[in-house]
Amino acid sequence: MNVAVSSVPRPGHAPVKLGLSGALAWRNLWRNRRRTLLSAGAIAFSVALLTFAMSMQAGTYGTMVDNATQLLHGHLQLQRRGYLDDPRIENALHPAADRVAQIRAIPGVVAATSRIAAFALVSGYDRSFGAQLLGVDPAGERALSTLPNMLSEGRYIENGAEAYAGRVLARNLDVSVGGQIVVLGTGPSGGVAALAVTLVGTFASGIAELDRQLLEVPYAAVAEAFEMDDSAHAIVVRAESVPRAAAIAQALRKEARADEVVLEWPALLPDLEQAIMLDRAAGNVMFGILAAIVTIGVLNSFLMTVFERTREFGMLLAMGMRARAVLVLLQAEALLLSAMGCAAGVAIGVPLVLLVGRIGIPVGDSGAAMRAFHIADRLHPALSTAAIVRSVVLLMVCSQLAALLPALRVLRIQPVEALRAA
Amino acid sequence: MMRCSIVLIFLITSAFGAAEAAEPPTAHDLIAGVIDLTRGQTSYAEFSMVIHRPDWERSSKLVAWTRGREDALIRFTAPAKDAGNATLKQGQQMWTFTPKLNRVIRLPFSMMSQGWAGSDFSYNDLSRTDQLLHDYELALIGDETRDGHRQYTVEAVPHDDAPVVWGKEQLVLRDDYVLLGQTFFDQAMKPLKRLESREIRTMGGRTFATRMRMVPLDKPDEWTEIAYDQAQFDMKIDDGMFTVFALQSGRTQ
Repeated sequence: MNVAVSSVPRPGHAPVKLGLSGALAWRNLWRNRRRTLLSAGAIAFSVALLTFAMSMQAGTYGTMVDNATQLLHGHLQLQRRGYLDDPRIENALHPAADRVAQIRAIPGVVAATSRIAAFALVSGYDRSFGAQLLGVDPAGERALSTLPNMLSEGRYIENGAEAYAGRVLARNLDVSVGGQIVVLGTGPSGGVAALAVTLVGTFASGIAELDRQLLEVPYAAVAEAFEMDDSAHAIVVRAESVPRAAAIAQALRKEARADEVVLEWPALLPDLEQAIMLDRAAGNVMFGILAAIVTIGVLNSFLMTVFERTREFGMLLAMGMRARAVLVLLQAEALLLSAMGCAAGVAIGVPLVLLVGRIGIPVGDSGAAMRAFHIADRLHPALSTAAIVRSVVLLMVCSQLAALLPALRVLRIQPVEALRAA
Repeated sequence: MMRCSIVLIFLITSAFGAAEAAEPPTAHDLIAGVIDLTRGQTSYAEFSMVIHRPDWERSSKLVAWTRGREDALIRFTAPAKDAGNATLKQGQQMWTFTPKLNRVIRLPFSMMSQGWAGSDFSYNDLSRTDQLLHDYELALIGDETRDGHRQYTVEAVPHDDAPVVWGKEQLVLRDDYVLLGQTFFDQAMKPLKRLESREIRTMGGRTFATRMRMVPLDKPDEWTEIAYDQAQFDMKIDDGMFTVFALQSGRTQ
């Protein structure tokens, strides 16, 4: 504390000096060591908790988006403009094969494949249902989608007149692996499209909509039946990562033809985006409550400080220190306090996130509802600088405000009365 | 005295008769009349269908047989690529036959009210089934005289448990049961598609709407039109016609 003593201002000089205030503030903080440690501890705890919770969110959302996009939709899709809102069969891209080759060559693209999609009547021996028919390139799908690995029975399609159907769809049709399925639809210019395929495998994705409605058939067979050679309703792209996908989408948009549109996952999976937004909003409420509790704690501690030190402030004012300088002193104390707390919080929170991130938090059988939102059975928080910065900034702003309110009392202190007070 | 009575009786009865004619028929009778006019006991029709879309237009030729109010068989005869595709409705069941696969497929009954063969007509619209009589509450809401005919408007609201996608339908028809137009409303009572009769002629001894166009009201560039080329009524049709076997055999006579 020698620093503080040696830098006592010379008489006649009482401007607001941050260096001086800082030194004084540092010394003042340690005048009540226990209170300071408790307040800093509360801030540290909150910062650690917020960092952890925000990393948890980021990790969960990241996993959700990864799982959901890898299942079927990819990170981004190239479609004909208008197809998303009006998915009729004639709204297709053409030619598709060259475009896929071009996209595969873009750095950062892991896989790209074209699909024909048609709503069709699918029937077994005696039962028929409406279903979503996808004409897919089997090799392309294996590289892009996790659906080929979600085998329930049989195998994935190769080439020829084969079908890979949702388990529930196959059961509803009363067709087992090896059985015949007939697909009837309407071609792009109104003609009858008919296709007979052998069911070679079924999948169980856990997502009711897909298991009940989806049927994959090799591209060539669908293109022939629907007379859609070299056309695609979607060119589906998987990138190295979600941020990388955003950059690729940006680049694709620049060179896209007028009738093409590049769609990223929030547009392809609006339900998922909404679920994340909802969860984020709920999280923000919790963070707000936490910040409010810590703010009240810091507020209380500074209120005590101001009451206890009324006499001291009176003396400082009597010596000619300006009230504003006292305010700055108190703000500097708050800043040092929250800086200490935040540093400790980050020091606790970051290793905690890294450790838990490696191990994962088991959530048991995640249940159908969780699977529907692509949440895995183990949650892994993902450390992000955004999480650290946001929690530190939030708590520093809050504690600064908490210190300001009681400090405003100083402006109303009459030096004479204050000197007599204690 | 006797003569007087006869004249009196004649006057009274004719007065009653006149009163009876002025009394509008029930909505049920009107709709039954519309259905029976174009179906008869049995009917055979050849017609063409044009599906119009902003990017393309497709013409097909079809033949259709009906028996009573429930059974119908419709078969494509052109273009060559689609020829032979056929749909059979027998009672409450439906099948379709695809020559490309040589397979008969049983259709879910819900397909009755969905767009048929890529057109704006549903199978119900095409085969003029009697669903309106079974599944709807019918009410006469309009009655006016125009072009020498009385013209009625019937509102049909489906029963709560009816397998119907529409909120309601409105039919405009003449006193000789010629259907002039039909508007389909969604559940929010917003008009969704409209059937317009564009030509009324006498064919096979009956006068009816021989050219009709279905227009989805939210897509002004799209429509489907059907026009009768030939029609016969009340002739003898082999009972075997309305069977899955006949559907598959592809017979056209």
